[in-house]
Amino acid sequence: MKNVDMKMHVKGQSVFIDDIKAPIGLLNAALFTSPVAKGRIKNIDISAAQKSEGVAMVITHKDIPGKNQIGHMIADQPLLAFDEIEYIGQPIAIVVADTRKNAKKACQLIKVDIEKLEPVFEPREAYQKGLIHAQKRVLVNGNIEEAFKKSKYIASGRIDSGGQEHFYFETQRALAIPKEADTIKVCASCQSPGAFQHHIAEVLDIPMHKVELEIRRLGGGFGGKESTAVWVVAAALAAKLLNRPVKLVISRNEDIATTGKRHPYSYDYKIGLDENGKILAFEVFLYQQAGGCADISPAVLGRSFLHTSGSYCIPNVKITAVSCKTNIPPNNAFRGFGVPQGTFIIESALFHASEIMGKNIIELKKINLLKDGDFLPYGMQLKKTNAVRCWETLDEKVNIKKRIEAVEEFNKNNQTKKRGISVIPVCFGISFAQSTLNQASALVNIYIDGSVSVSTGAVEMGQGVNTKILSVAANTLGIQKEKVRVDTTNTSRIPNASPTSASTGADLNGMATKFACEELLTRLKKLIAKKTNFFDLDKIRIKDGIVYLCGAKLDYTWEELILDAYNERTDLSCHSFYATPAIYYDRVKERGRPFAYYSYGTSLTEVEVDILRGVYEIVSIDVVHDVGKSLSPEIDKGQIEGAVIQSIGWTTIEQLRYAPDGKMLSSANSYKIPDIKFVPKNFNVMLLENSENPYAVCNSKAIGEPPFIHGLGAYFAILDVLRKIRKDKPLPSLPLTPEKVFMYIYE
Amino acid sequence: MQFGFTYHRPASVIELCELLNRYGAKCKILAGGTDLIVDIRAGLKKYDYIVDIKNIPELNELSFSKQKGLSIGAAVTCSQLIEDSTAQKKYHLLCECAETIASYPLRNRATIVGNIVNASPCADTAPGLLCLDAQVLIKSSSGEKTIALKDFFEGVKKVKLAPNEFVSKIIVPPASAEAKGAYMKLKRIKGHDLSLVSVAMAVIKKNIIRVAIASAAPTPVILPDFSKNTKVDEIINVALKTVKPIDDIRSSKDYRLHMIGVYIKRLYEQLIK
Amino acid sequence: MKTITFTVNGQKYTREVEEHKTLLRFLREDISLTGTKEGCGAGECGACTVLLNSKPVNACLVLAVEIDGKEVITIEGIAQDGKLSPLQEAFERHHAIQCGFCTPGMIISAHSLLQRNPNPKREDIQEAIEGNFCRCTGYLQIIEAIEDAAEQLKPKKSKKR
Repeated sequence: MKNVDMKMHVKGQSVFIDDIKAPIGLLNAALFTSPVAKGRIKNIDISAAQKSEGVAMVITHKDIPGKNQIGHMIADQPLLAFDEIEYIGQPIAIVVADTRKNAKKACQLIKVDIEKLEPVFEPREAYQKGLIHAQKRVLVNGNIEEAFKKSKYIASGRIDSGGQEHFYFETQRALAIPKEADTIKVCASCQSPGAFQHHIAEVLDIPMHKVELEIRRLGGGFGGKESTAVWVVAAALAAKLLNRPVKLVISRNEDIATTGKRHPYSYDYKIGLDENGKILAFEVFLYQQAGGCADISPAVLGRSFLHTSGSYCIPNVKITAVSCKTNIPPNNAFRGFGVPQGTFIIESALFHASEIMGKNIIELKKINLLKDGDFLPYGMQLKKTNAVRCWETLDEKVNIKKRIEAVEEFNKNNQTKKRGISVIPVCFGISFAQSTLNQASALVNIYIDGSVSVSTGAVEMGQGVNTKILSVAANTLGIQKEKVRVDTTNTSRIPNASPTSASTGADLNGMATKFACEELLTRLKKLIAKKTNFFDLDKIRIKDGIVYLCGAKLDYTWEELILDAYNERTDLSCHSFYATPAIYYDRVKERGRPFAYYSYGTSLTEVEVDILRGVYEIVSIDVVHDVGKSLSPEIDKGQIEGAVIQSIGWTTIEQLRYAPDGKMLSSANSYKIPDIKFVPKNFNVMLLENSENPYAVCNSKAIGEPPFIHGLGAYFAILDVLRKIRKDKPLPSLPLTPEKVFMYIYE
Repeated sequence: MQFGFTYHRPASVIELCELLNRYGAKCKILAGGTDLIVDIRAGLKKYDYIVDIKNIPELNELSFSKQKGLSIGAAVTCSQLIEDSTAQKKYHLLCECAETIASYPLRNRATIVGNIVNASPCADTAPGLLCLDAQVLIKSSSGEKTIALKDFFEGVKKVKLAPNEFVSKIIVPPASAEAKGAYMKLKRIKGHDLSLVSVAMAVIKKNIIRVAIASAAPTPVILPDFSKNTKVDEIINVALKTVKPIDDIRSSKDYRLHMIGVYIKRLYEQLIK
Repeated sequence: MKTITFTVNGQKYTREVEEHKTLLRFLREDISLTGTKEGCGAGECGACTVLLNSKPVNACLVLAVEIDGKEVITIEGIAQDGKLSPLQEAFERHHAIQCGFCTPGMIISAHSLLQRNPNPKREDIQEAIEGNFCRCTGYLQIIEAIEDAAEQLKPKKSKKR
């Protein structure tokens, strides 16, 4: 089934936050943020700004009625800084004026006196100085010392991976409208209805039931609107203080300069293999570049931590991970949520080991793939593992050996252009690693005309979750999809909703929807039974909006049934709840079953590098990905293609640049994301056939993030070329920009 | 936009000159606006008056004659030039340069003269125009003068133009018509990006080799003419002695220096060998 | 303030406009056509692409006063009498949309391409769309949609007698 919003999208009729018709008396807000990376505020002078044209109010920390705190995991993030400054771009004041132009103009009149302190930008340096968020995590499994002693081949080294700007098309924004009796309605572009509603209530000092947070759709999120609540809470605060509607929309360059990114990491690794190439031991230290506040970084780090074994069976491990406090804007969630970094380090280590062993990396990967019965480092035993199936399916499709030979042949015949190849297996745990969040609820209402409205906590951001939920509801009730509408995500209808994140949107909310529809269906069947004197409920069915008994069609439509149900005083509204069963994790022992299931895939990437210029082209990508029984093949294919290209952006061209003082230099004009010319000539995506998944709704599998891992193939395919040219230096850091490729060869 | 301004749209060169005389440095000429509006929006530049020249017929002229060569009025867009069959035929190198500017919607607005007057070190049409010995026609209420493009650039974003003057057109002389040439531009992606470094090479009158380079010094640079039998290594040597590239967020100095050599070699192989 | 007269999606308007206002904001705020989006405000992303005298331009870099006497087509003007154009239908059919924020600009650029070149090769599509970024789809479905729309728009060969 296709995304239901598309008909409006193609006509430009879909309403995003800035498209909502301006309410009467609307004011516009802008943020004044710190120009200094580390320091202490001595004085904030807002007098000139207050007098500036059109200004209604200049809000500082002193004006906040409730808690000046929006920390997502740890209370270390004030909404408006009052003392310590931790990064350039940290909000200090909110200027509210008649127009955005006047608000911005007034921002320039604010004078802030900040005592400058020495900032830290390097994660390793921060760790040395004891600057970390939350606790250091250590996971030990097996006996690492013994295993290294037994290893025939050992590779070790240091490597780094870079950050990535989300570049969701709709920048951070919100519209807040005060209502009667101290209540407030906030329309926002955000992924966390429950958490953001909570932050608003705390900052405004009103109970949560007075805050209605509504989300229609996002112009992209990718995780960047999950944890940092600054822009949503700031709009709400201004509206509350002025008792007028307030809109806050930040510009692209403000968004790039002041919002969180994908976390850069630095890694130390050591890997040991036996004489056959089986991995015996893996030791890794992850230094995460977290930024000035904890935000959601410890959770991201936790996922990297749990994925450092990638798709491989590794009996002995020692994993250490620290979230390092550095003076840049707090980094946050970004598609993959630490898994791309966790996978990158094992892939890098294994690549290095293959060189030392002198064995082809692709063969080495294959013999180490996870199988049923294998244990992951945190003690979870695998069932229904599709790692090998995905690999073999890809092999059948592309013939990996022949492709390797073709690359070798090409390289023999070409001097200035060289091709490289890489195969990347994917194993991605599904569920929030924080078990509490694995819950969702749905509200399904049937109206007397037979139309159905579904509300859940899921946020639509282009990933098609509403379409999947609609499809689950229509299929469960046995009615035409046109009869169902998925309503906005609204905290008054669905309380305490978890973020739409961790690829779990459809899994959790879809299941809650299914439960609610099943309950309604049972009520309706009881009514049919009463009316027909046929009491075997299992043999009553509704299909395409018509009632069937024992397979025989009755002259009884959905609409007639609903009207009868109403007249018989049947409850036509149902709220239902789902909590993922049997997941738990012990943070002290670092053992447990943190994920309900795993998503698998394998891809082959081939690149061609112009070795005189460093520029390269992605020649082809072939992907096999396991989506279980797809709820919508079109949506899932789109998710895979989008994730792969976005990921190749991260692994190749997307590079963030900072000035020595910590100021972001990258901007809309200089930060390049993949464009249409970036698409490989051959790009084939195949969904794994006959895959069933009893752990998620209708046997489907989560899709948003797992395919992002395939993009690592571009880095490793280029690396394949580089290492054939020279091996006398360490592996290059990710991303492999053309310049880096060139310098690697010639410097 | 953070600052307001008054907008003027003169209908003639005389009117334009009057406005320039009246407002001087307080006003700025708007042609395509693809750089100017970006800067004003970002608050990087502030002008009290914006003078839109697109309504002046004579500045919209794009013409060729055997005596005068190619004349590109100040309001002629990149797309207009690219879509002009005479320009493509006679001055292919210049069109090739213009085709690499930004994206199609931007080329529909951006002008060739704007690309030059803006004086960005990475201006794509500059290397082509320099190789083709382009001249700049400058006008003001007190008259007009023609100077060689290579003398027009003064520094990063600086040109020899008084506040009361404007560039009326660029003239590419007939002597450069049908010169064999090519342009190579290094970008970070295949799609639209500013050049990290770029090189144009032309063979004029079948015996002079001319090379110009952008993004490698405060202004686009042209090397002295070479005779046709000059060895490529010698050209590279001269080039590397002439340019002064910097490190910036798009590229390092070293990468730029290396690429100049690579591109000169490739162009030489394509055009001379 | 300046008074300007212009046409948007076939309808003629005379309006007062602030001189520094961009065409993008003017369309969204003064004409209430919010289909055209601001993605970057710097001419990089193409979300604000509209047709100005039938040529695609970035509305964020055009001043509203500049459209005096000119004709503008926005995304709202592509469907005729509520009926989707073959291109719009193809975008839907090929699922060439995810979040929808880049879609209006993308469709305008593709629409203009098909008007200029009814038989675009893949390279032509890439050339015409390079100024329109999409962060969601990975572009493949967009390319397929445009190729299909071109196919749909071809005059059907008359049957052999």
